[in-house]
Amino acid sequence: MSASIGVVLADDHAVLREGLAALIDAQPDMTVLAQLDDGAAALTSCRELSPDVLIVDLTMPGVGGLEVVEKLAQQAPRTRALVLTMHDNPRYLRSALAAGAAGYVVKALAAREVLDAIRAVHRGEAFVRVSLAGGALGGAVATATAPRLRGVPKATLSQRERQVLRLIAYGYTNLEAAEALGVGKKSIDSYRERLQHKLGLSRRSELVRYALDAGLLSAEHDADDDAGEG
Amino acid sequence: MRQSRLIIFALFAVGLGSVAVSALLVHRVSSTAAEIQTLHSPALAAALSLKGLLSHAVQSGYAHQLTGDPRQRAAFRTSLARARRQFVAYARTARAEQPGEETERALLGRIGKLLGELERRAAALSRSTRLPTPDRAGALSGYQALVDRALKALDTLVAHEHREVKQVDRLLRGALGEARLSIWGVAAAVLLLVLGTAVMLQRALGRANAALAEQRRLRDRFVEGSLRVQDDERRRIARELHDETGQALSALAVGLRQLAGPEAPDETHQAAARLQAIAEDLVDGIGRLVDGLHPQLIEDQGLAAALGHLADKTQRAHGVQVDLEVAGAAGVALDAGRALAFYRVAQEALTNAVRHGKATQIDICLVRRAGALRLTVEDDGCGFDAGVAATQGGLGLPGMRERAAALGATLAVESQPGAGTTIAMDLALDSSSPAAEATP
Repeated sequence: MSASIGVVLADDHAVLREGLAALIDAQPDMTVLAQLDDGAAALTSCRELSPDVLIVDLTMPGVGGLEVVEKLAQQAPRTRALVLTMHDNPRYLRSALAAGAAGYVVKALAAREVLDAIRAVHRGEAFVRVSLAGGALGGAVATATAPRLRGVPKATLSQRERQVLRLIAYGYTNLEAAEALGVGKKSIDSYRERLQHKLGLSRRSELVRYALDAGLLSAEHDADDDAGEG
Repeated sequence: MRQSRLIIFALFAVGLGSVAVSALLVHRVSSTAAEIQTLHSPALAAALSLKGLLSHAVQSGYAHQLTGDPRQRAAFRTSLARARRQFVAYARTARAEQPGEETERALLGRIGKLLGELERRAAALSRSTRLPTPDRAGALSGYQALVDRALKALDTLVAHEHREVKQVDRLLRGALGEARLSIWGVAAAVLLLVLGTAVMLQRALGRANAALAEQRRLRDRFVEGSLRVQDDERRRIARELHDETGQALSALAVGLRQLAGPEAPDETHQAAARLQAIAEDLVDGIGRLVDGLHPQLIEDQGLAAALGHLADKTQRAHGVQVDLEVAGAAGVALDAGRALAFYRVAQEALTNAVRHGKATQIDICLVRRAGALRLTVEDDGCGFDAGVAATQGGLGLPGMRERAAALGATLAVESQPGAGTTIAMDLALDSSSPAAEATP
């Protein structure tokens, strides 16, 4: 019966797996071909049965879900992976998609979403719905592509300002930077204020990013500090 | 500790002082002895000069007798008179100074008599210039014998004075030596005592320091142990909730979904749907609980990812802007325990910034430099007085410090009222065992 979607279930949590199997099997357009509780067996099964959809848990003993998804493209190219996980977290979503998963369903919503997800994935669509109270996905994307800073020419900073910038970027507190350069904390405060004004930056993270982009955190600049400490 | 150092310093000062005082004493004794010696030598000098005078008188006498020169005669008589006067003065002084000296008194008496006799004879002799030659020769030889006897007696006196001076000198030398010896002895004893005490104190101080360090080490180890137990327990509970409760509730939701199938009667459908929603809420709640209990991301994707998640979560939950920057630290292979410590410190810092600091933006930076990993959490909140925070012990600072100390990391907290807060944790990555080298 070619219309029926062949599904393989890989999850080491038997109660949920069997519940899901029962739910899926009860659908007229789906058939559960196999249930497995570890990654290696899931791969073997997919090679042998070539199911339409593999539902795979991310955290399994032995070969984990991510690895299974990665290897699936080679070992069973027909089979599309639908990740099922407790992790309601964009970082896991991102790594699952990067590994080649076609869908991502969190277990909290498995009951209402898994059937739609199977059908969508089978149709060749991607199914991604993390419950995640607003903006989490946006946050994940934003973090993934942190805005690079516009290049500000290094020459506009005095040697002292560059030293202060490096120390701040290396995570020194203002007081620690003052001790390292043998000056008062107030001078560091004003140096930092001045260089932030010059660069148009206001936050420590931006200073780190700037120093990183400008190559100020490479070892060759360490001599600058020594000059300051002398 | 500082006090004991002061005491040791004071002891050294006392030791040096005693040596200085001893040196001064010895110097004083020596100069007194020298003074006593100078007091004695005039007697000897007087005796010698007396002898000189007498010899001169005798010579002038001879010359007068031989030549008959009246000037020689006058000189002879003056010399003799001067010798006698000087002797009288000398004898008076000598008697006054040493009234009990038998030998000297007898000697002085004899010399006095001899001098008197000498003067008489000299007078007779001077009158007898016209005596016949044989008589004169007789008188002259008599006079000569008398002079010889006087000179001899004076010699004895000089020798006596000499002996006396020598004896005084010997006695003084002895006394001086003894005085020196005893002063230096006392000084050495004081010095030894002081040094001994100082050394003992130093040792006691060293032992106390070692004990303190040991105690700190034990405390750090204990804290590290209890933190590890706590972390392990949380991880265990999280795993249990994740693996059992969460899965079972998910299964429950799935089962209820099946119950609410299209063929079910309406009432069953509604009830099942309601129960499914409850089960889903529970799974969601458990998911969040698990996430709070143990950041599984650390093990799955590393510290940087876990911090990113923490930043997102905080931003979402509190509407505060949280920015994370990781430089050269993403590749650092931290063991899960140390990574967790970094995570917990960052978490506590974020909580403080939001709860106490009312911050609007927070920056988390994780930077690796020269074998050290540094986490900085900086906020623009209201800050606090570091002194007040230290005494009140609030703000979760002690917890952060304990985390850092148990790891062998240092924690710097910098804050000022109105000027935000910066917390920096620094860990040398080379230190092989996290807690063992934690002593400062």
